[in-house]
Amino acid sequence: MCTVGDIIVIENYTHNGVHLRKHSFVVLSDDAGQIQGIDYDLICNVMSSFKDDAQKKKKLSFPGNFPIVPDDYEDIDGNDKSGYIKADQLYFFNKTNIQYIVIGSLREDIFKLLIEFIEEELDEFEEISENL
Amino acid sequence: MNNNKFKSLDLSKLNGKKSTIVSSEKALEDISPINWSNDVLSGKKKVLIKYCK
Repeated sequence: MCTVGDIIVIENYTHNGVHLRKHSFVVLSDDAGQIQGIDYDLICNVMSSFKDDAQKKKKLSFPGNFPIVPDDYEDIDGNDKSGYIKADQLYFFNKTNIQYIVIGSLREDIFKLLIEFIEEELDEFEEISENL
Repeated sequence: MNNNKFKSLDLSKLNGKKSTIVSSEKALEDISPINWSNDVLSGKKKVLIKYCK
């Protein structure tokens, strides 16, 4: 069972019947609601690594990307990549329809900064609800 | 994972902001999944994001 602030890896992520690679998400809300008339009980941001320094520079120039830098990963062995949270994309899920594992969490003050960034700094969002 | 309940995203604060429905394929086309270590994926170690810059 995940809760707000957790980092989860969704294992059975598919699109049009095609299995996509495992993606990591930050849980923003586990309140129930509806989007386009369909029930959800999980809202997440996806996490991404950088392919190289050039991509890192490009990605961090986008206003919707919330950076998490190498120091963030000091607790992770075998992974020295920096990354970011795609804060302007909101993924809606129903927990009963996905398989996921909880692999960690954001520290509370960092999660608070992320929420403030989403609620106060961003003006445009993409919503992904086809997995419901 | 978290012992304390963090403050959730308040969707009402996004009312009036522009939103667009997109497919997973489009949303994920430029996302590079993080390659967590086997220790993390097996639950032996937990990830903690402590900083942002």
